[in-house]
Amino acid sequence: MRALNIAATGMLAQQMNVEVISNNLANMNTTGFKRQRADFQDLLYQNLQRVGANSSDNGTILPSGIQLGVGVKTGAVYRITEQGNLTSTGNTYDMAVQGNGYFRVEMPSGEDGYTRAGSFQISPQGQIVTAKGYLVQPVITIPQGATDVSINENGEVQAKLAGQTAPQTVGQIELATFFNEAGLEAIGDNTFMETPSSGPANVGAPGTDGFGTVLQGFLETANVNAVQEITNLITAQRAYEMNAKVITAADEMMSTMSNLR
Amino acid sequence: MDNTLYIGLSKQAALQRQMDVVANNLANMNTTAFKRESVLFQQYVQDGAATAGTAKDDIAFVFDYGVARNFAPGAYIQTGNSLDVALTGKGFLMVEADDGDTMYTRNGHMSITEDGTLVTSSGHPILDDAGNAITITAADRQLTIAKDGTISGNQGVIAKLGVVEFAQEDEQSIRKTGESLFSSTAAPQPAVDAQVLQGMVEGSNVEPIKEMTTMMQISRAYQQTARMLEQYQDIQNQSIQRLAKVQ
Repeated sequence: MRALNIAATGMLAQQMNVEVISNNLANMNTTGFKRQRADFQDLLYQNLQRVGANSSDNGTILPSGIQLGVGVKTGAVYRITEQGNLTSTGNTYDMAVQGNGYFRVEMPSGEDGYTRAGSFQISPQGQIVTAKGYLVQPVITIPQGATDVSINENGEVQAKLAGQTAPQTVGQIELATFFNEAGLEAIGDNTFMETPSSGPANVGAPGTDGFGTVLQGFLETANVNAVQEITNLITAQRAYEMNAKVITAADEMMSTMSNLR
Repeated sequence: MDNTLYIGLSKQAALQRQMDVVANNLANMNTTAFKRESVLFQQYVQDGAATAGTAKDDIAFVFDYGVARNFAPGAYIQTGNSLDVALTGKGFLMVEADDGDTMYTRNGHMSITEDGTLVTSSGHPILDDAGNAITITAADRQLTIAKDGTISGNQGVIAKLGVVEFAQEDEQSIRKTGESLFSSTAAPQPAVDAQVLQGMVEGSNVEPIKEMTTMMQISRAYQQTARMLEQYQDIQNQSIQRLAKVQ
């Protein structure tokens, strides 16, 4: 009986669905997290009786054939890069990107990583670093004794230096955009790496054509919608149960058969 | 002679196939743009042996002659992804298959490859209204897709998605080929009433309650047939024993 295997593919798919949903829910409060969605596709079909085949010598054709599907598979698990909500933190070095773009971060390996989580801090050398201590690119050093650090929406970092009244520009935040954002590889720690599929990073100043703006004192929350995820979870769980029921029913049919005298 | 056995067997073979179809429907409950199927049955009448003085008995076997596909639209699910589209009406998107043939799909989850081609989640290029692949350049941003399928970015119109539909009489010729794709020998025509909805995908049109009740019916019918076969065997056993006693 195919029904057993078909229902097994269904259960596997729903299991994957629950895994994706649970990861979304677990990251509900992760800064800059982008929710994912599992996209399912049907498996190949077996043609037991091909539609359009001749049904007689007179050239009449079968109006409908018999095509049996053999189950379901996961086509893709893709990231939905919708803008998350912005929440005010009042922290000087917290930044959120409104619109397109990622902050560029130098990873310990020397490669560039990209992140939407702008919860930055200051290193002992006065450089702007991520929560992990990785340098934000290009390196911006806040001079010692500087006060009133402000970052405008175009990414210009200004500070009042000791003994001066007018604020001085001490650096410029840059953003990176990608041709195919969905092609970025997530490596954890809210960080993404460039892949051949994402295309090379296109670096530019915030607020210029195609780049989002930077908001100081705000963080981007996850774009996970709890209600939506919970309803998806209910659907996935019920679908899992129903597929399990199919296995029971198919098993009963087989046991009926084997109990025939 | 053993017609009862054969009739029961034809019923059970048909029920098993129907069970496979129901299992496939339920497995694809959450598959994007999946179309539910059901099995069609008919009688296959065979002339029975005529016994003297009585009317001729016709024997009716169960024969599953086809699978019907229900093209009703599924529920529309909001995803918020700018490259997800759902189609209303009877529209299909055109897709280029591996062998160069044109296939059709209602699964509008699109992505962009590294060379800018717009593809389905299985990597097949999506075609525009002239049947060519659609290329998005690196300079195109903020893609919006209008209800008629026109894709435009910040630099103006890029392409128009090819949305087609099949004539009523050609709908029967549509075959499923897996990966949410359909193929057909008939030529489609540009869709008139289909709309393209951006940021949504079409869900599966499987109604789980219907499928579950069908499944219950199948397993009960299967058991009944098995019971019938058992009873027939009992009758045969009894007749053999009694005939032996007479002699």
